[in-house]
Amino acid sequence: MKKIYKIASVFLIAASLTSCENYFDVNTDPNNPLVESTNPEIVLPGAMTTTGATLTSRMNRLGNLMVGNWGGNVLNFSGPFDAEFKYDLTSSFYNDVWDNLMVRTVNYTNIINYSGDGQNYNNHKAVAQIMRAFYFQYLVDMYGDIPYFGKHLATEGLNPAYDDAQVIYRDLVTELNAAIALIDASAGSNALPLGASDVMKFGPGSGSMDDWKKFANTIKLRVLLRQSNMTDADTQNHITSELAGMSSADFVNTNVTLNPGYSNDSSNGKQNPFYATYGFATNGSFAGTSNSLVAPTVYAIELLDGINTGIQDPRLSRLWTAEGNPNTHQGLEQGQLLAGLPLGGDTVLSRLGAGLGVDVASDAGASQDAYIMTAAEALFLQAEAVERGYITGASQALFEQGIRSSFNLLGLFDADDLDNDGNPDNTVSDYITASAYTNTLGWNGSANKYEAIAQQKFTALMSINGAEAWIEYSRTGFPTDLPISLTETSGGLRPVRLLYPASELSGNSANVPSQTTSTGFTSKIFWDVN
Amino acid sequence: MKTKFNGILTLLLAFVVQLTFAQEKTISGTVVDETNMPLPGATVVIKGTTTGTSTDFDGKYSITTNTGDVLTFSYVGYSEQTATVGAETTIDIALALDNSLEEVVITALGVKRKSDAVTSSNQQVKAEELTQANNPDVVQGLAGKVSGLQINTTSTGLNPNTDIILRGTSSISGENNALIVIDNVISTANTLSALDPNTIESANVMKGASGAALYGSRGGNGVIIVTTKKGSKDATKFTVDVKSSVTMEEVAYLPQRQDRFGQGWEGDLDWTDQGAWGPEFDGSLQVVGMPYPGATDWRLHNYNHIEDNIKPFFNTGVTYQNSVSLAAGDENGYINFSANKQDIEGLIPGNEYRKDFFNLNASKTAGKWKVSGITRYITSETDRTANGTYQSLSQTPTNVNIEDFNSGEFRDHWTLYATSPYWNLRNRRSITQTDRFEVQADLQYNFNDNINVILRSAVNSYSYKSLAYNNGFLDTEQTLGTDRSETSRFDKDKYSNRELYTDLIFNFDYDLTDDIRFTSLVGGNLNESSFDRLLLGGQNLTIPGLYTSSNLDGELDNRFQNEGLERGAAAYVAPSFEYKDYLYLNLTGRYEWDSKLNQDNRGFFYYSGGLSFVPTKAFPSIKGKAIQKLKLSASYTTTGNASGIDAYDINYRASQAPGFSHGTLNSFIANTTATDFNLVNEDVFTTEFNINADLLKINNKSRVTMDFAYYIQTNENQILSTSTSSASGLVGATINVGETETKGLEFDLGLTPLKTDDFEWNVNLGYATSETMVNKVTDDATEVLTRFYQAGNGAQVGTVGIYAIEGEEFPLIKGTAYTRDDQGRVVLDASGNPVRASQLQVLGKLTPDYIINFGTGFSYKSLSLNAVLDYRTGHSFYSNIASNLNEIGGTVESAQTGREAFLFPNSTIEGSGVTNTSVLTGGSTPAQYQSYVQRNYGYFDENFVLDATAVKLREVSLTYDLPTKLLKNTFVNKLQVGASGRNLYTWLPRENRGYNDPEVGTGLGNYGQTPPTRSYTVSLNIVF
Repeated sequence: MKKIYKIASVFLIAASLTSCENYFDVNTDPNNPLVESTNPEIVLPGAMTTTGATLTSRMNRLGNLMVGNWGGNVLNFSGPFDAEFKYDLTSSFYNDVWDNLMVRTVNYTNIINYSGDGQNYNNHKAVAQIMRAFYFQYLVDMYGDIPYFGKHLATEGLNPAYDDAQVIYRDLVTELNAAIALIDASAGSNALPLGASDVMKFGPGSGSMDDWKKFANTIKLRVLLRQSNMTDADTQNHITSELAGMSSADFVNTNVTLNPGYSNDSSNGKQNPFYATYGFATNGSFAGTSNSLVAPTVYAIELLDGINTGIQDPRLSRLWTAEGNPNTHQGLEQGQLLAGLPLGGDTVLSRLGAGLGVDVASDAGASQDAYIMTAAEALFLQAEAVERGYITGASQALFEQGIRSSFNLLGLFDADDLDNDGNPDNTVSDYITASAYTNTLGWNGSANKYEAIAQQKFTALMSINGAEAWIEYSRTGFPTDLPISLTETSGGLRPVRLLYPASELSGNSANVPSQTTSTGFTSKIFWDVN
Repeated sequence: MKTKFNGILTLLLAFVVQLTFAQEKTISGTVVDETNMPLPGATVVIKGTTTGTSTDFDGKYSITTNTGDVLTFSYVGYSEQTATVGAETTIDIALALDNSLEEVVITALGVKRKSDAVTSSNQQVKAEELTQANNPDVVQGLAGKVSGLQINTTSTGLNPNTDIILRGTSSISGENNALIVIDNVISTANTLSALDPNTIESANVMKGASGAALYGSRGGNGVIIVTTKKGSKDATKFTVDVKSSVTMEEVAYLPQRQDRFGQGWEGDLDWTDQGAWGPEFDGSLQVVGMPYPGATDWRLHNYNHIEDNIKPFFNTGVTYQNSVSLAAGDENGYINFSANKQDIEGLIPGNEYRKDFFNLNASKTAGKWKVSGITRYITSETDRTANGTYQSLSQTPTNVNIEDFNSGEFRDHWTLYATSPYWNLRNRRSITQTDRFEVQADLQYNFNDNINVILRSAVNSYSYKSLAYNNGFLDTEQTLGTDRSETSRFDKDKYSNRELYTDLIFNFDYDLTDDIRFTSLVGGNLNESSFDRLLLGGQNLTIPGLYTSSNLDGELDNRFQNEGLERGAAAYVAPSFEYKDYLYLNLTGRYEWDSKLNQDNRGFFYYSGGLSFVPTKAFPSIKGKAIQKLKLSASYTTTGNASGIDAYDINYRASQAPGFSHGTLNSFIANTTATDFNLVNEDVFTTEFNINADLLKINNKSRVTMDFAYYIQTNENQILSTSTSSASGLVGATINVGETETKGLEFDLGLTPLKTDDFEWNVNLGYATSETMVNKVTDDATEVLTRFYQAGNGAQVGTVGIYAIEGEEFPLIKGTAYTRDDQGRVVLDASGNPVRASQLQVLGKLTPDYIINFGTGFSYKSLSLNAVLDYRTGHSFYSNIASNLNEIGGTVESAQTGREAFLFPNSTIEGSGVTNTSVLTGGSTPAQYQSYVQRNYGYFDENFVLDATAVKLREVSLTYDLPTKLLKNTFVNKLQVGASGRNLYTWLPRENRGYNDPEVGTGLGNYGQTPPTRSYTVSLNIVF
């Protein structure tokens, strides 16, 4: 009998180990939520901040370098911005811009497609649609044809086909119209308010859904204006018909900024992304940042210091620090070597200035708002649209408001009393008055109003949205005197686009159009008819 | 049972025979074994007759015969011997153990099979072979010893990681590692590496898949079955085995550097720079590096090339290994205890590795029960400097005499743009402690002679904790305005995992008829694997040297927790049939469940069938001196595999958005990688043919052995983690892709050219070749990137990568290549720079055309000399080191033209249609030349894809056993002294100027912790 017990015990042990029903149902992740269960309220802040970071740091840097605004600080680095100043276009050149925008905008798509928990998220969905269109315009503006209609399918579509840039542009307008319609339809419905999940600010505070509509209209206006130089009937008809629906549209007149609650914590990535890149670490050092990498170009200084125009622009000392003894604003040419500078103890170069909030280690700089679209840009867009007859309004007033807004953004106000004489300085008004009759700077003095608008927009975008400045330069050809880098290797050509990134060459080889280096200099984006 | 019965039968027969036919002359003598011990019961028969006798208890025999008769001496398990009767009356015979005939191999799930019955290719590696060169790592000890087995070191340094690849990389997914089974329980390569090599009894490398079919999902790439030592055969006393060795390790070679230009930038001398872009060496006295110790103590040196100037940084590494084992046992049980201590002082000063190993194996058979158990505890501690030391050192301009900068002070350095490696030694370290605890119990019950049941359970747990820290430095000097401050930080990482593994196996063994034997196992398996990991870290320590979370100026910035659980189960059956002793049929079937796959795809089935035939036993007439043994076998196997994914992977998951939470606002966004929810298991189909032959028997030894294997393997639905179009919303996805077909053959030749009583010379020659073709990638892609350099965040770095391309061989290296015209000329633009095309080109393949292993051994009396060498050729690798050195102006190529404009050989100017004879490349100034090298030459990955051919003398060992005569009156039974060397010589082709050991890094050669090394060992082994 004993033996039987022994044998039985063997089998009992075995039986106790055999599977019960739920034995294999252990594949639910205890560490991470599922995409399908993260609702738009949870996703929206992260979607906005990740995409915004690319715009305000990397795209900003790229643009400022491409338009000759930023030079490299050769005092602290050998060969700073070497690849940029050589216009060394390759599939690795700023490939992160493509990768980050493409990948992070999937969160907008996931919001738009969300069908969980039974709540009405139409407000969130409209906002996601607007923001996605906003970033896809940039993708088209920098790359031309891109995968668009087959995008964001995750494992269901790993090799999306390329779509024609112009067709995408049309669809961006369709998307923006749909978003506006969704906002209108959701008013008074049970749609959840954006609440805290809206980390975008219109002016000093969070926006209403009306503000989002204005923003959508402004982006739409930018899309249409980008094509304004195209003379073909189809494009003109498209612009005309879209404008017809915008007769009573309102546009953004405030800075559209992002702030999820930035704070001075560099190691956790909580700083404003521009400050995190070009400012200081939490402990006040600039180790690990690009703070000391950037210096102004001679062009950037001379554009503002009045040496060519006689109009001193007070924004100079807000955009760039004065260094040395006596304090001067000192720049250099792109690609210039240390050897080319006057040697000695007083060799200095200006750095990014106080108006940008990155000149000193400060909690204020680290927690400042990130600029998605400045009021100045929106106002200059409106000024140009009025001037072109797209919308109604007073173009000069909008233009001057744009300048005023640019000054304000950098911390310059008429009411300031910097000289402590007890009277307001009238800094902005004085500049507008002084420059009014100067060609390319002032409204009255400029024969070509578009050039004045473009020139002022260029200044207003300096170090704030370089990518927009670069794209607008391609569209308008203004400013006309933009310098080319000393070390360019492109036969005097400035890049007009980026090349498709390495990830496309390797991950989407069947679809990615073939390009050579010269594509980046000669193959213009469809709206670029200069 | 059978053999015993045969023996008795033979004895009886012989006895009867002897009585019947008595003849005239009487021959007597003694039959002994190899160790001169008498063999009682050995058979002595007159050849061609049935006349015979057997030996008594003292091995003595006597037989009446005629002169000229031939006597045949035989004994079970020993080789037969013959002797012709001459004038003598005494014939003493020593029989040698016959391993080839009744060799038993341990196959899947612990089943012991005669080697004849194994139907797919396998190769046994004996303990002596593993330990002959005192390699502290069993896995590395296997290198070069098995044809078709590649041991690729994926990192160098104290405790290197290895890939164990059998029969080449046939799987696109990169899951090509062979399965490791230790004492019949599925284990890992890491565990095998952690074992004391001296505890290993044997390793059976099952190359063919059919041996692996029973292991299911993880066995598709072959299995290495490792068995540890199981006691001795003497129950009366413990056999004590003590082994000690000391190994010295040194840098074998360093990348060759250009010897014409020194520290500087764009042709100018610059004492702050890392680059070697300065002016040509002229021997003049120049400032090198920062002033030290005082702010004005500039150090002047002759501006000259110093060969291998970074070599003095490295120490001679020393490894001490001490093992002791105690073993006892008899037919009813055994016990074996072993302990091993390993101490390594690394090549990099201050780097240390310590490992303690304890193992207890015991077994007892009582009646119908047999219980055996294994307990193993392995603990190790690694204390080393952070990664990147070798990399940063390798960038030192060659005029820098680095020993001048060895104070370890932060300020004391030769460049402004990096931290001093001497400072890093003390201030950037990582300390890791690991604990591995394994318990296994096997419970066996024999119902009768025909049925038994085994319950095998194992619990393996592994944990580590590590601390990595960077000490800070506040730069108050800010030389030239450069803030060199370093932020202090620490990271702590705790990880533990637990594997549960249970097999319940019934074995059946029946003689269906007199000639047909049927055996089968039927069983089931349950396994579970779980892990838990916690990480935390932060920067800016308040009190230097205190690495705790409360000692931070700010919040933790590294907080990570992750846990996982996966389960599997299987049911399997393995019937086999034996017809007589020469025809075998093996079948297996296994149904498996894997919790990592979705409910619909969770279960899968695979099977195998194999046939083996031994003509030399079926037709004894063909057996003779020329052909001693011949075996033919063939098999067809399917296996499945879902090892390419982890638990939870099939879910599309979200993670906390970077930078969050901001105050009370938190956010989760989609992960940038995902796995197809509908992923299915990979399928591998293998067809295999083998021929094994023992030939030319002279003096009881086959002088030639030949083993030949040919196989065709098809992999379908491979699980691949690939980089994707970012427009999909993912940067990487794990999906089922493709179909590959691998054809390969292996040929092993064993020779004994010379053998006398005292002297023996053996040669082993292995030849292995395999080629994998990609038949399909996916429905909508014809190529896929399978591997690339990763940045810290997992993003792809650079353009070079490993690809699978439809219709082409796999794996291929693709990257940027020169644009060439139809005549093969390199196309230049008008300014002489090669034109870049954005499409990537195939630059080489990773799989060698063939690998030749060569092993040889000489033994003279008790002195033996062994050497292992291998040769691989026909493949390429990408050298990241060459690319890095190019960037800093360190390569020979970057100085070849004297850094002046040159005529690009075989080039044409774009659009000209003629060979370029006038336009020069490289620009007219040093700055332009530097730009050409960095931005143009450096852009083309083609320039850094190098021939991966290598000849490696992996091991040479010399051992001397003290003759037993001298030990006779001592308590010592064996005393062996040895000297050995590993990786003594490596030959690389000219274009690989010592940049990389091509087998490190599997195709994308990067910096390891250290340069390649060679080592020398002396050892002492005493048994008493």
